[in-house]
Amino acid sequence: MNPHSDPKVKTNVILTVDACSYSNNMVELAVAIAASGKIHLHGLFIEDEDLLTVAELPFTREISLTTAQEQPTDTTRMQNSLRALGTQFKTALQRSAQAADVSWSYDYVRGRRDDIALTEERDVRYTILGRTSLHRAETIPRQRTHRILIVEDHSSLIGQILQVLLQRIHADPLEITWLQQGSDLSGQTRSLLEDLQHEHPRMMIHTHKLDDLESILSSRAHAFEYAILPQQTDKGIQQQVLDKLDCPVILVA
Amino acid sequence: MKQHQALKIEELYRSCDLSKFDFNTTADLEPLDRPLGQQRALEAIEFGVDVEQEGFNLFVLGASGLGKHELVKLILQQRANAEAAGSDWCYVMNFAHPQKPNILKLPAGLGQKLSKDMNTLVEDLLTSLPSSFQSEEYRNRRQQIEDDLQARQDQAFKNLNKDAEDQGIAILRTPAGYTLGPMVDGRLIKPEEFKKLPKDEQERIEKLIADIQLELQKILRDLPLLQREHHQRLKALNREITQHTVEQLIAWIEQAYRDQEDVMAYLDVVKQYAIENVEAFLPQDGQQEVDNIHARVAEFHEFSINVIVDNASAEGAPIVYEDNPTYQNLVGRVEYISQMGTLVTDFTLIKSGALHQANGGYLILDAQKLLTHAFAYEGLKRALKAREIKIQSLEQVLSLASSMSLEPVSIPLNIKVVLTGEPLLYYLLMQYDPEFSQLFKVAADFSRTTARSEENTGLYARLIASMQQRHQKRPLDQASVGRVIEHAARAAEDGAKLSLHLESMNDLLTEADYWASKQQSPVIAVEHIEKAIEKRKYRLDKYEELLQEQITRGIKMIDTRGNKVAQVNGLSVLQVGDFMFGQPSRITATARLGKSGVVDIEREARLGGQIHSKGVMILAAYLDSTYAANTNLPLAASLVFEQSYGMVDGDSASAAELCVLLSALGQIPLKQQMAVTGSINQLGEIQAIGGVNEKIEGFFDICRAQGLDGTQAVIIPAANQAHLMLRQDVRQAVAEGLFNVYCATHVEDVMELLSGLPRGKLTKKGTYPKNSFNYRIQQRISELQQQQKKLIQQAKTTTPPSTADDA
Repeated sequence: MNPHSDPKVKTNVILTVDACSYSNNMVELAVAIAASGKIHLHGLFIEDEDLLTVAELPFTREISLTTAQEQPTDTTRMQNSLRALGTQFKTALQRSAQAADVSWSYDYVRGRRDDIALTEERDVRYTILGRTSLHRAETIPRQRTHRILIVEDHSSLIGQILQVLLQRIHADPLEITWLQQGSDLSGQTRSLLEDLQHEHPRMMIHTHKLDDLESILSSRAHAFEYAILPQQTDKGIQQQVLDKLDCPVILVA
Repeated sequence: MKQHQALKIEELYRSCDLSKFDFNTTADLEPLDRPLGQQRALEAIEFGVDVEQEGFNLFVLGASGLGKHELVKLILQQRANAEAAGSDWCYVMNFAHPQKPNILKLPAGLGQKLSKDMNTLVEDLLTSLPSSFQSEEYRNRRQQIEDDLQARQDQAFKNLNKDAEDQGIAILRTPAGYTLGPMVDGRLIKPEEFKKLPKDEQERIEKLIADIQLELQKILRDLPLLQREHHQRLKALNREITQHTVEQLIAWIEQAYRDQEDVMAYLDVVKQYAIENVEAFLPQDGQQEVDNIHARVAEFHEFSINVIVDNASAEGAPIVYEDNPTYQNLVGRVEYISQMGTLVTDFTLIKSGALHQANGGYLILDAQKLLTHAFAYEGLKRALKAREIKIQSLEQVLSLASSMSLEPVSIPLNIKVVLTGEPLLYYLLMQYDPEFSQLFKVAADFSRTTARSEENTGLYARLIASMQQRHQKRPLDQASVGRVIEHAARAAEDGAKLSLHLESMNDLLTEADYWASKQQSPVIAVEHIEKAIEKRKYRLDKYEELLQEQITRGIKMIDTRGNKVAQVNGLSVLQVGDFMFGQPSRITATARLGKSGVVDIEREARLGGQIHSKGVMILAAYLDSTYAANTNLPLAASLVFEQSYGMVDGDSASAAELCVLLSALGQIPLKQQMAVTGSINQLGEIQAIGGVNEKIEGFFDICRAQGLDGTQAVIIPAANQAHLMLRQDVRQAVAEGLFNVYCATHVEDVMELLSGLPRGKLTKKGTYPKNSFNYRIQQRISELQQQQKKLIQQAKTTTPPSTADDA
């Protein structure tokens, strides 16, 4: 049974990926978040309709990322390629979820990634939008400094998701860029960050006003490994973040 | 007739007189600190040890039991104690060519120290390098490099993406790579829209996409170059960090070994290797950094020191005796371990051989063992010639295996090899192996006996004292010391010599000690020595007893009374293991007219050895030259050892054979109560033989069994008189006039004693007096010659000529 199709089952984590954003790392992150909250995970694979549109053109070529060689493509070939990736995503999701004893479901849909991700209307705590740059490889160097962009939302879910991320980076250094509405941190946020810093001594926190978002995105967009935004954040800000960042974006309720 | 005097009692045994020596027991004597009677060997060994020239190795030759090993060890130990200890030798990783491990030579004791220091270094690297790589400085610099790479890649794609967007082209990611499509108003043109575009516009867009595609391909092709540059920058950073840390950590070892050029060169290579392979020292993903550091140290076997020769506790130069000198035990070997069903090896599995252990000192080997182990002798010679030890398996030496194995660097060899062995081995090697004489130029020849002088008698007593003290046995009283010395003379088969076979002498003392302990005697007395001799004989004389029994029961026919023509008692010696005993043998002869001369039946039956045949030919020659010097001797005679069914060799019975032949020829009865031993030459002179004591005692035992009556005697060569060391019971019988021993110098002496007839003096007419045995022989020969003439005449007048033998 597909739990997603059952109206009684509530989805708490949704992971959306498409041809350019799918990675095992994303799947494992989503499963870890679901496992930490003992909540249901729904994987959504988006068949990018733009790719199918382009593939229909008579002169369209596909250029290999690995060899830089070109080869002709068409709608059928593109369709098959996307389906295969979707199946791969489903298999990875199934394997990881079962290993972590996480309830899961899977679906695929044709459309445009951001349109679908931002218009999904479900009862979700976390929406993970898989994203990557045109060229970025999945492999993350060992012992590098991990950087996370967080827009404050006074949500307790921020603390939970940070715990998951900290477990995944082990003892590596962590640099958090914290954007807030006001000039001072709230008491709840301060307490949260102090607890985290106690557990993870190699964590550094840089606080900025939300107004600094544009300059930060312009200068350091490529540096971030994750971005965490409240779902209720202004749609304009969400779109700005999605447009500029190449890393997975986690929307929290 | 010449008066033949039997030997006096004192001539049958040379007693040991210790009255001039002042001691009650051997406990009062100073142990002998030098070898007795081996001066020649001693000087040879000292010479061989002193000469450092190539090839002056030693071969110590002598029978087993002479104490060669002990003496060699004693001399070498004295030399080695004054010499410097050997070096430590260590095999280490050859980082450039792992299959060819390098060697380090270190002063004694430094090998193990270096091994421990290297382990400490690895521990230090395992703990310090991760710390260096977790420092903020390192992380920041690495982050900069990675960010730079990311930025450059981003920039390249962003620029292309912007150019494309500006020209109305979108770059899209596909599952496998990229594709490009035209846009209008920020969205992709659909195929039906594209078809509606003018032809020129379509061609323009296609060309535009093709151009951007080329740019994209160029960026993608450049990505590996960017990655390479990035990797090199990271490597340079890692190298900088590692170099600093490694140099700091290795500095104290370099300081400790600054005088050791080889070690310094090795440490330099180790340093470079650690810098180049720093990842190995860093914890892997998810691994705890310092969990079980000792287990991790064991993983770094390439930094191990394989100390194959450790002279840390050595005092002086090494002396090694290899009891099992196989090829591998000599030159060392490379061992293998099984991993996943495959045999693998590395330099830590190199094992040393005796040559390694003895390098810089002395190696003692048993020549026979060396020669009986396949390729061991060849391996030793190769090492000595090349003056280096090269560890190669036999498969490699014989080119039987083509699989790759280790080829450890050879070790320079500076050694003195001492081979010990039987003289026969030495002479065979000298004869048949040209290389042997080049490699073993010094022979140390051990004597079996030494002169029984007064001085040596005293030294022998001290030698006995040494043995007793060394083996913590009871002391001997003075009388028993004398008895042991007398036994040594008997063992030497010469009353004027002393046996130097220390092993059998020590065995005798051990057995005497046993009998003394049985009687709870604090000292070993003569009775204990006698008992030891008696019991040892008893354990071994079963066959002697059986033979004597056969004689006394008449199964084997030996007469000890009466006179008989053409029959005499000869004496022979049998040896069973290391036990010798004498026994009489009946020798008979026939003589008749003929031409065949003297026939040795033993030889004809192929039961006679070459020396025996030679003896018979000599006596035939004597017969011819003595009795038919100017005429022919028409004789067909035969000689045989009766009831002998085995090989007969030696010429000690040739005198008896000549006498029995003369008896048969002259029909002269011979006394059966006498036995004869001795060899003869062509002049009829009696020559010395071996085993004289055993032979006399063997005949005495038979006579005693058949009843001594005072007429029984043994005739021996006069040259053997000095060898007499007869048993007490034989001497007692002689003292009581029941048995005698006569000496003879010529066969005519023997004939006089055996026949009771004088030899007679040859007259000017060429004849002997009528009462002499020579007259009878001469007469008989004359008769044979007459008969021959007669037969020849008859043959000429009646029938065609035939052979004399037929006649």
